[in-house]
Amino acid sequence: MFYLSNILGMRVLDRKQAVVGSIADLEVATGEKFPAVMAVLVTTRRGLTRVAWHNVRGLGITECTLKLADAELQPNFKLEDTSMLLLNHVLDKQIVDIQGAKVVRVNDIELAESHGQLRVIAADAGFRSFMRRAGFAWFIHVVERRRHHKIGENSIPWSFVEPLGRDVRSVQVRTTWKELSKLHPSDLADIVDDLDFNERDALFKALNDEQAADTLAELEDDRVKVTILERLGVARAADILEEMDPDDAADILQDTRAETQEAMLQEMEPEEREDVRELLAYDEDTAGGLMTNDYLEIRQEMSVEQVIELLRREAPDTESTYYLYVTDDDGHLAGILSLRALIIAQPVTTVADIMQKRTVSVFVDDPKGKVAEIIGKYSYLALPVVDHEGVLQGIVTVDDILDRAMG
Amino acid sequence: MARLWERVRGRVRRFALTLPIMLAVLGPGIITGNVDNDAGGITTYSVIGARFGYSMLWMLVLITFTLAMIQEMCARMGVVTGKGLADLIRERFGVRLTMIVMLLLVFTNLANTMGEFAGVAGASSILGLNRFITIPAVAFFVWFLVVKGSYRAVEKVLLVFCILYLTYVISAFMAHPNWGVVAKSTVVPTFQMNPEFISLFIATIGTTIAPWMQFYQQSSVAEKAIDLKHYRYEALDTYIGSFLTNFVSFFIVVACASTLFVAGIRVNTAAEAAGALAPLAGKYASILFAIGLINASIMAAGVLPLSTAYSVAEAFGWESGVQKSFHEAPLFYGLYTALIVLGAGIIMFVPESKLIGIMLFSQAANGVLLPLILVLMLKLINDKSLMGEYVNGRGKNIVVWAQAIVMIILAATLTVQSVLQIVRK
Repeated sequence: MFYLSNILGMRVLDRKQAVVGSIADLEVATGEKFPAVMAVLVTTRRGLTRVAWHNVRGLGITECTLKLADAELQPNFKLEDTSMLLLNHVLDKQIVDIQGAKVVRVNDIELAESHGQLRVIAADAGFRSFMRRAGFAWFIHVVERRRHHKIGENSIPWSFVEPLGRDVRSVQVRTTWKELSKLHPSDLADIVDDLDFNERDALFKALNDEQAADTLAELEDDRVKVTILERLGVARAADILEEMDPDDAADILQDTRAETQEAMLQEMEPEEREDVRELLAYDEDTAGGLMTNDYLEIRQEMSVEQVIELLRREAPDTESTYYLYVTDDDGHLAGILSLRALIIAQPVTTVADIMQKRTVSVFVDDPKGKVAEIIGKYSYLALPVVDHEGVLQGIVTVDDILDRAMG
Repeated sequence: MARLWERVRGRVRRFALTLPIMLAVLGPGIITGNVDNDAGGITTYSVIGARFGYSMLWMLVLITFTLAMIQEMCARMGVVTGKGLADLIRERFGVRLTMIVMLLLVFTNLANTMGEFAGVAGASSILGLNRFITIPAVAFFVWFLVVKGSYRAVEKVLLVFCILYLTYVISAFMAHPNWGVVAKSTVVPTFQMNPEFISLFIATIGTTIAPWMQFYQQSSVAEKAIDLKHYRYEALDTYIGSFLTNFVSFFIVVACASTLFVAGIRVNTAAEAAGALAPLAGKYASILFAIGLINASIMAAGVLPLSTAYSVAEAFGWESGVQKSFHEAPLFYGLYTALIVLGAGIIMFVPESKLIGIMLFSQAANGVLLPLILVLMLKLINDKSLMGEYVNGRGKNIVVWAQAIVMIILAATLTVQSVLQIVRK
């Protein structure tokens, strides 16, 4: 096994065993699980020269021997779109450790030779590799001999490594971000926290609208959310906002500058736009500011069968289906139907017979403290919000309250 | 006439549209500039005012330009790359050099943090407060603000603190300076060839252009994720910050020059200067001076350890950021806490006579660090693969390199001086 830090700067000999230069970098192909070294970049007295791997006779501990003669080494290096340089693009740069779902800095890179190919097998990001790079390998040896145990290394198999160092703005690289999009949105959000904004731009461009919306909703800092959307441009931002729950979308828009907010709203589909616009009218710290207007409303005279049919059609889009809200002709909240009551009832029963008529609700202008108190007291999963005429306006779900209480 | 009116209205409208963007961008440069006038800075400015009167005022004007240029390069790197300076140094220059830079940075910033708590102690005695209460209180306040608050809260608090610097301007007016001489000294350079003048000259540059500033500003600019097309507002922010810092130091020098210098009183610290002001410029001028000092010390005692922790975490790839919990980023918070506890603890419990050695060492470290950082910065900002079209122009490179060379010579002199003093002791 080789360490990149040992290979860099190594003497390079031509086929007559004369020193012709030193190793400047290694070029590998992108897109492979354990990428093979395509070429060795050699600094010769004429300049940077690319030597294809099949022209390398052998890589030793202290030197690298070529099959070429000195005269054949002509400066010819140009970076291909599909390749990556280990020193220039990976070493000392940040990578995403997909398995651990976090961003780490690469202290060293491990390579191994198999079947005549030199392959990248792992990235080292631990204390051991750091000390080795810093020139304190002796320190590690001393400690290990005294303590009789090995100092750990955070060695990440290359198949779980997503490099960030290659210019993230280039189109070619964006396709490799696909691996990341398989992560859970809350893991992705943790990673986004550790990226710089160029990398964030690239990541969000690689995600589809729904993934982007989920990831955005998981982020903690509202200002970061706003910045990400603003940098993506109005059109894309609107697409992502449409995919979000209206209350989450309204939260973000609340913190956006007036003109940008209006521009993003204008770009959204009319239906989603109206939902969000309604919510934007409320103060952030009231029940109105917490609630979503994406809920299922049913009528007293509907039969259980009809309700279940409606649920099948609509449920995937609603934030909470544990309770269904029953309204009269004027939209007044008339009762609540729990999912449990619905399922155990006979299909022909009407809603009016099984709904709970005594309801607990809050007014749109009640402070969020009161909302939290009531949800806590009754252990509800969701709470209806009404205006002062008793007309249902939206619901606050327990996770909305938790987000606020913790943030 | 109607067309003129139309044009004026267009201008006003455009301004009204860009104003919110501008205000959103402003911050990092202004805060960095103000924190620059920390306890160490105020001490240096008081000493040069008391010792050499108005004769060093012209220098502050020159320093403003140098500082603005250096900080602008950091701001530009922050906007273009989205990365902090420590980040870039690590990525471009590898582990060993990064480690040397970080060791020097931690050491000088610890010494500076001690200086801030010494400032708190000095100001406390002028204001009649017990320093065994004020030092722990300040330490806890800044620690709490960062660990329990959000970045936005921190930034807001810092901006409020910036306003308190105006106390120095009022102090200066209360000292009734001779404005004619002040004006002349500001534009006409004078130089005295004596060791004390030269050493104070270098100390002034060292305290005004401090290494932590480059790291701090670039990181906060990067964190703000400012759009490239709004870069000019960030440049403006930087210029305002650089102007403000020297605007305030100008009035500190004026206040001390028109009182202490005239009366022939020598001072060694900012607190001494504040105390000496009372019989000459009145009790209130003295109190204002002390309030300014304690304000500056508190602000810098928070920012310096924070910026150090950020830089080191960036360089070594630790989890970092005030939005993370202690549990998520233990090394980051550990270093931050250690710097504050050490800084406050050493000032509280180690006798002053023992501190001079540490301070000299830190000056020497500073003298090595600043030129090193300048050279690294110039390499980074001229790297096309990093900065694209935003590399330095040739004219700017010539000016900045010329300044860097002057700074390197001065810093080398300072280092040699400090080392000689250490040897003599």
